[in-house]
Amino acid sequence: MKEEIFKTIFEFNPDPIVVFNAIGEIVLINQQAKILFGYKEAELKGKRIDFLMPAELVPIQSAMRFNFVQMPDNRTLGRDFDILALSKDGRKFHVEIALSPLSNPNDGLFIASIRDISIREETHRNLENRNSKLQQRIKEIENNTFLASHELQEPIRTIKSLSNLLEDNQMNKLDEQSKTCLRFLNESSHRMNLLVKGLLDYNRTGINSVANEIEMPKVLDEVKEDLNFLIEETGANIISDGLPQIYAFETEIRALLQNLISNSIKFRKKETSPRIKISANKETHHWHFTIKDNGIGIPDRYQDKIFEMFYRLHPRSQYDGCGIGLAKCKKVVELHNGRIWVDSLEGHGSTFHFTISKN
Amino acid sequence: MEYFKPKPDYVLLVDDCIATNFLHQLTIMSTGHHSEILAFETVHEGMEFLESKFSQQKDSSILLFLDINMPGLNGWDFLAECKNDGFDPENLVIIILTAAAMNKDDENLLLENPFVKGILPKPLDADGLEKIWVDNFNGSLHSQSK
Repeated sequence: MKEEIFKTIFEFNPDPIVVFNAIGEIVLINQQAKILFGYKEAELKGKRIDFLMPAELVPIQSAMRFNFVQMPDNRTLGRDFDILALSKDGRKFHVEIALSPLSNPNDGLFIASIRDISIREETHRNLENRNSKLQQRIKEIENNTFLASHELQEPIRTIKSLSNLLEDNQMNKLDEQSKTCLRFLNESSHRMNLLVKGLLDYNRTGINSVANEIEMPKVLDEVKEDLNFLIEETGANIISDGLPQIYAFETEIRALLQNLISNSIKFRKKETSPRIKISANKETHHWHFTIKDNGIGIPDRYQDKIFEMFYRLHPRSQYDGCGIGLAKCKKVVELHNGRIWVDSLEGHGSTFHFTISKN
Repeated sequence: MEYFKPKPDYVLLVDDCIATNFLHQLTIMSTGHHSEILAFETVHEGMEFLESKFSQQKDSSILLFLDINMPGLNGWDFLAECKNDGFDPENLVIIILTAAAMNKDDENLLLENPFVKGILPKPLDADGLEKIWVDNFNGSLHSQSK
């Protein structure tokens, strides 16, 4: 009965198996081993196991076998270093070998379960190759974006300066239509300037950043300091509760908070002072932050769209902006293996949520 | 096509950018066009005008330049509302204006819309206007008489 079970397991095992004795002679091979090495059973029985290795590796690989036979335990070879096998048609291929003694030590028999990992190895090499090419391309694109943004800024500044010059010196010579033209020219070049700067900033987010332990209450204080004018002007009330120390990119996290808080102030209800509450919760793998405001809220159908690059929800005459802020927030959060989303009811304020991975 | 519509009673611009509306207004005026030109910054304002115009006078003829990418409700929403309101495509000719590259599927979808008679890149220029006139209204812009 026991033998039956063994036979079935042996023959139908998906991995090739070779049974050998203490001096390295092949005693038994299963169907998969015949397929892998391309031999018939009769061709291998009684042959030394070295027969299945490239000649140049026989000394070192049989030393390993010798070592195993002296101290037989369950072990796997071929993970930390390469082991090569040789098939009948001369193909050399990478293998992983699981070695173990047969249950009865007095039999002096050992099992080698052999797995052909050449495809895995090749896939791995291809992946590494492509990965390094990809890295190179990304660097190139980053660099080009940086150069392009700088190049674009120069003509924009020229347009701005020229139209300012016209405005300062020629304004009284212009008719109404020309004055309007000039005003729109100024506004458009100003907006272009902001767009290019925003795009440059977005693209550089996370580049060359180093993660540190940062105190969130301190970061929040700095953000409030930066937004001081806006806070005073609108009478905004910002409170926080239980903000932790986190391991993150400080500059990026500060920009994230600053964007979300200034949005909460910007999209306030008329005649109502902004009230903003920032809190944090510890979860299994993440810190979960919330920024709750009493602003105008966001209709359901736009709650995903607002995180898209250049997406804006309001005409510029109502709320100015480039549509980059929340896209940048999303990028920052994703740099920290987190997620960002919003809960909101139009007319009843918004709660922005984001998570930051603990490590 | 032998049948040409008469010159539109109104030309509407629906674009969230005031500067673009201003520029388009000047461009249309500079081609010698004399219909009344009105600019709206939101889908809402544009729809309000159309609804009141068509309820006053069912056969008003309107040419409308519609920016497809607007904040909040956009050109797509505008077209959907035109259909909901049951406007007559004979009286309302819509030309889509777009600043960004548009994918083929969106373009085809727009051109299948009964109101849409063309898609033009922003900003509008004299050649584009002339073509709209020849294709949709009573001959060339320059042969129009007040």
